[in-house]
Amino acid sequence: MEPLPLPTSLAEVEQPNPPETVSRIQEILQRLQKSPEGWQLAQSLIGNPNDNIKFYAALTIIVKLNKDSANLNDDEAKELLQNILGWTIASCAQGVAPFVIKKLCVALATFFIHFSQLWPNCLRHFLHSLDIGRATPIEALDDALETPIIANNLEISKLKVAVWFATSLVEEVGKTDMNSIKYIHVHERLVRNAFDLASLLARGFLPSDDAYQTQGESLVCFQAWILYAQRLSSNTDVLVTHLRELVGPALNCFAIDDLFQPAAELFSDVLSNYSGFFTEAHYASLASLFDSEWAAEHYNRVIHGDHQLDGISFGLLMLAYGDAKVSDLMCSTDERSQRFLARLAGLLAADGYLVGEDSIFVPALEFWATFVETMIDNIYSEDEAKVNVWRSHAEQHLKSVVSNCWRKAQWPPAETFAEWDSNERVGFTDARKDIADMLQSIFTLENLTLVSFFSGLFLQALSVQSWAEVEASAFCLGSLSDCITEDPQYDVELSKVFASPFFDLLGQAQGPVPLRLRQTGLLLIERYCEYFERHSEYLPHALNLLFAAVGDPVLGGPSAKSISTLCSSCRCILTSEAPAFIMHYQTIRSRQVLDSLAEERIILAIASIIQAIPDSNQKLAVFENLYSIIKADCERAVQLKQQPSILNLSDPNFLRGVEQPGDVPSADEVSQQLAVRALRSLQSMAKGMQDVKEHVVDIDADPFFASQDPKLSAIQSDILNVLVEMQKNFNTSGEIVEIICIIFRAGFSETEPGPFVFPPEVVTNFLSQQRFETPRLGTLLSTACSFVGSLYRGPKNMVPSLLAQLLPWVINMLSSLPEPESDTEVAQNGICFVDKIMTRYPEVVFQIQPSQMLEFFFMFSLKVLNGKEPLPKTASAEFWSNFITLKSDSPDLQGTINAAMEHLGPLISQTLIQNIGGNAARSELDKLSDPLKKLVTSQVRSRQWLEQALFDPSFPGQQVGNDEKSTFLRKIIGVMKRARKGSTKSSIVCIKGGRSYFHTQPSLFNHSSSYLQSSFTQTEFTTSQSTPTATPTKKAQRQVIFSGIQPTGIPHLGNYLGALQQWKRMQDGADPETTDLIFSVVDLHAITVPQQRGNLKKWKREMLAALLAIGLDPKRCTIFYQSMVPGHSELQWILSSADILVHRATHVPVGEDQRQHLEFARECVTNFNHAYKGKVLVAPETILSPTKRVMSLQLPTKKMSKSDPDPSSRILLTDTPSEIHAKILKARTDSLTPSLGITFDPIQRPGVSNLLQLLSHFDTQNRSAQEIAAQINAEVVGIHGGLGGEGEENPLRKLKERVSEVVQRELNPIREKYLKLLQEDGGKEGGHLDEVIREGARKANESAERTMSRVRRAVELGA
Amino acid sequence: MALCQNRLQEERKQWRKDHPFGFYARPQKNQQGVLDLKIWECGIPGKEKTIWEGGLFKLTVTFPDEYPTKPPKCKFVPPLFHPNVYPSGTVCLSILNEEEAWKPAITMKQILLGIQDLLNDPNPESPAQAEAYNLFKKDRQEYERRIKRVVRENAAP
Repeated sequence: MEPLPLPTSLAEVEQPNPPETVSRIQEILQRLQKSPEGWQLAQSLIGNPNDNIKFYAALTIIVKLNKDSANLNDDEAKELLQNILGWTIASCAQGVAPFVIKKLCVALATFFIHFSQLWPNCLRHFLHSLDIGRATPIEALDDALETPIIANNLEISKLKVAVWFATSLVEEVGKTDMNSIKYIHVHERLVRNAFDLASLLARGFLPSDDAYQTQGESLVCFQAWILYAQRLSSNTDVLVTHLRELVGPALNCFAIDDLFQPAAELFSDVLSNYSGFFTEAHYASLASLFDSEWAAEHYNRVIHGDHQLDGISFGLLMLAYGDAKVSDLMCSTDERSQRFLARLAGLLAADGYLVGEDSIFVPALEFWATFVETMIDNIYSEDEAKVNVWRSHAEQHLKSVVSNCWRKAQWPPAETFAEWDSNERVGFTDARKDIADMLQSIFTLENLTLVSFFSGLFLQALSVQSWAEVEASAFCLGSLSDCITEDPQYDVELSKVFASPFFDLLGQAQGPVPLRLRQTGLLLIERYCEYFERHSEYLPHALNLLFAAVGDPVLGGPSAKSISTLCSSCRCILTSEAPAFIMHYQTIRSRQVLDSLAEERIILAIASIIQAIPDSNQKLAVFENLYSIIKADCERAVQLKQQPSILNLSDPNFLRGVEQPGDVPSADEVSQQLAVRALRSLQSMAKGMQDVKEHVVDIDADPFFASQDPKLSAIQSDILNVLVEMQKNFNTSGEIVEIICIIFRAGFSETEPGPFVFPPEVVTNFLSQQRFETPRLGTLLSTACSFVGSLYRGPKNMVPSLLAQLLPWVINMLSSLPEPESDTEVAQNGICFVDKIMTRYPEVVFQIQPSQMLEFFFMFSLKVLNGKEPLPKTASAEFWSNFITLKSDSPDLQGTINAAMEHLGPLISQTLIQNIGGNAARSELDKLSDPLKKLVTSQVRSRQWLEQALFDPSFPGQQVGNDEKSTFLRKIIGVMKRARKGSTKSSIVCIKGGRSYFHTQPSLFNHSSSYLQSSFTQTEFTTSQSTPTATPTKKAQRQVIFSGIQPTGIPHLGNYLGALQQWKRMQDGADPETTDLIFSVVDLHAITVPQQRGNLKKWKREMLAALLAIGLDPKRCTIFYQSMVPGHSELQWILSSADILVHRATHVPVGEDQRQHLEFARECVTNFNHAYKGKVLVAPETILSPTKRVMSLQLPTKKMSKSDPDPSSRILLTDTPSEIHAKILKARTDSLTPSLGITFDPIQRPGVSNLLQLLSHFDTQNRSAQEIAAQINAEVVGIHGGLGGEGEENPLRKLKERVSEVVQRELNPIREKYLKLLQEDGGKEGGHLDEVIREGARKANESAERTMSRVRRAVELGA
Repeated sequence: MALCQNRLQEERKQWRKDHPFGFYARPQKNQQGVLDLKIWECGIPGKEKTIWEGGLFKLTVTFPDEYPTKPPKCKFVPPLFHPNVYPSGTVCLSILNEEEAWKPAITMKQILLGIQDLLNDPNPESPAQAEAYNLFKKDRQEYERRIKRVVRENAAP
């Protein structure tokens, strides 16, 4: 501790200083505030004449109260109260600056939070003391006057201070957790001040001669109390009753201009958040207020005033009222309500453009959206007669809403728009979207009326060439396109629009129609493409318009999209136009280089028309017409690739290959780009040629390929040649392979012949000629899978021979992989492919030549199954599930399958056991349980295979004994057999024996068993007969608390907070007379993960030292290594959760995430006891501890972990103060702090939240992370404001400093003790640690042996 | 069920009051034009300054009866080329997984922002489709080229 600086040196802080000086001084100050001398410091500073120093004194009191209030006895606390109160009153008399007095009020409120029992009538006491001008003893209150009288007597300056105090009081208390037991009484006591508060505010609302200041403060205070009352869950009645009395006086404040703003804020706030606070009488007063002259004037200001300058508070107040009373307003027909609603609709017609000038429109639109929804709800749920009473009135308002929206949707002149900033532009288009949503809702009620309203406006505006109005009408009509049905009455309206001269004007690129309107007009065509299907007479004209716009840089993209939509859905009407469209396309592309995507869309459009041509000869002719253009592109690309010298960038045909205009690419790049473009065009053709009609498929019919039109065959082979040629010339391009695959796939789904519906043998040949080096081999294999699927849908006779050709190709590709997982896409699709064939044509698989291929594949898929890549692993698990249950009608084939199974059974068993024994991740157990289940239920020799697997040296759990393995096996087979008979789910617990264990240290495996369980229970074990869980231990019985931790080296902060700290607390809190504590270092679990031998020994020792260092007392608890107690492993394979059960633990502390494991242990006990008829084992109860999760400092979305390669991600219990400091300062946070301050938000701000959470875990006052965040922000603001320093006090820095300090304080003693223990022990045999652990093991063995003898007796396992 | 509906009403209200730039989210309408709060149509824009910028990706969010106890299901329509999107279009994201990071307090806004983040920051630990995952891992250049095309095909209006 540095010596206290002289209080005068504080003045330094006020001087402009470099930031580092300021922060250094602040650091000293903060340390002082927290020191034991803090109280004296505050006392000595408060008398200083300097306001800033007084402020600092008040702040010090708050800090001390929050930190040290537990150290004050009642007398000291009372004395402190007298002091603060005295200072406050004196400051008030001396005219000290308001910010000091307010801070003193906060100090008093903080005092109340900590000592409310000493100061229940705080408000009355405060008023009384103010009144008589000095701090009176609390007892003197009995003789004081009635509170209303005191309040009425108060001088106005004192009155204001009293209101400040009442505000601070409710704000500060409001920050505490209302549901926490700690604060429940504070809230109760605060509410008891309701009458005094009401008396104070009643006086505060009276006019005073301080320029309305006190009235204004009273409004603020009133608002704070109402919102507090809303959050309060109980005891609200008295408070609310008192507060309601004040609504009238508060309403009167509206009359005073200076008070309008706070009053409007108060009422808007309460109306929108707590509308139930106001009574009907209040609402009536508000309604008449809105109907007054005064309101008319305010309303007028909102409609015609400058929103930036004058604000829109009155408008928002009206809307808040409207929202609160929306149902009533809707159903009312009286004139006042009608006037009010008319004004609300009028809010949509304020002066100025959206939203830069008019900021009331969007909130008003939101109200009307609610209004319309309420209308719809009512109309669909209420009696028609009832609805008819008000409906026409409400619809009248909707009319003005609609026309106001239409007006507001109009674009400003282009030059105005150009002046807007990006926010204003985005705001405008967003508001238009809101309008569109609104119109769709209104359509539900108004349908045809709405459509004809807009078509009328459209024509009217068109006649006077008012383009902005035409645009808005088209926009509004367009927004209804999804609502409008094919009812002819709508078509009548739409025809008026589409037959209008507008669309002639639209076609003229240099015509009078502004660009924006052209855009909207073209969009309107696209949106109503179903209309054009019904009215083909307008279609060619519309398409011509669109084609004309294709070359436009702005309109091109959307036009092409519209063309493809229209052509695709109107294809049957347009068949005769196809040649003309092809011409169109050719003309456009000869003039300019089209955007590639636009071009693809146009080609798709034309191809879809071609597809609909009924005559097949004509169809092919037109197809060839389009195809020849694209083929030429392909050939040009190949040509350029082969002869780079022909590149001529002034030729548009080559220019197409320049990706970005202005680029100067090489000939090779151009050829590549040309090739991609050409093939994309071909892909669009293939997609366009896909049939959209449903056909009945006769799968027994002869394949249509045999009798295929020779012309069609010629085209097909031409296309195929092009594809092959392209692939050959551009053999390094993955994109080209990808496109070719899409083209093939386009044909797979077709049922009718077509140019892209290649004969299956053609596809087969193409695929099986692909080599391993081909880029995107995975995509080719996935195409092969789809192809097999399409074969199964078609005629069957050729299928086996085609499959027999593809299968060796696929397996060859797999065998070319350097490692099974080196290309996950290839591995996954390859396995899927074989799986697909095997399930339908197993003979093809088993007849593969050479047969080593099959052998290879089985081994390959087993490796993948035991590997790390999730996707191939899933595919392999599915394959094996199918293979294990594979059956054939042919006896020969069945023989082959059986022989294969005989050979493979042991291997698949081994793979599955290795996965379940430790190699699989949690999320994978789900899919792995399926093959295991099938193995046990459908293969008679599975027992033997699993046995081999368990006893194989490769089994991950090396030190598990043979007996245990046998027992496990017996149980798992038993489970399955019983499962097959559909008996009970209870015995499946055994299958999890290998995996399930129980302790508080999370590890790789502890989730796996529940997965297995759920997957089993969901499928076959649903007929549960298990009895309810045994009743927990009775009170008289001894409690045994058991927990364990893995020896993974020195524990980190996460281990400490997650488990160890709780153990210590249990030790300190539990009664030694009734409770045993057993803590195990679970080294047997640790050996299920590969460990280095030396490490385990060292880690066990370190863990033991850590347990002692945190304060566990080996005399009080039983601390031992799991491996030293044979009972654990003996029971382990019989029943999971052996650790708990062997000690007959009654209570086990767990985190929420492990709860299910304990449920499972309880189930074990129940079943065991049931099966062996006795109370052999004890069902443990859960002690649910609040999970204190500590996240990684570097990756705060992950848990703090030992295995993280980055040591700065965690804090070890042995880290030195400087290491801790460095790690925490380096902790990853975010950059949101400057604008948001410190906030607790684990999703958006995991880093900051983790630090706050840490503080909360260690907080001596048990404050929540949110509270701490608020505190830090407040302090930063406070110090900043108070000292007026130039330097930015960074709250993040402050947070980190504080975390570092707190963590150091907590860990320092632990580290010291830990190092001392290890040093004294020196790692010697027979040292202190050895002694401790031997004694622990002795006690644990005794406990276990007692249980084991009961168990052995029960199951007759041993003597 | 009532909880589900109330919460969805509230979500809708909050969304209308405050939603991130460029996103949209609205409940579907049934044939009478009445809102079905349990199916939302949403749009997620690609983040600025990423290869996803300029795209607007359509997503259907379906809420189960047990919402908010259980998370909604988010599905890109049409399915999106992305390592963590299943071939069906369903998004694989920890905050949408009941057994992982889903919490009832997570709002629509957080979900959609979370998915937007996922676009440019895929999680290679939990692949959902082989094609995008494989390209992402093996050929970043080709992956990005492909994304650029996806963005063009789904350009924001």
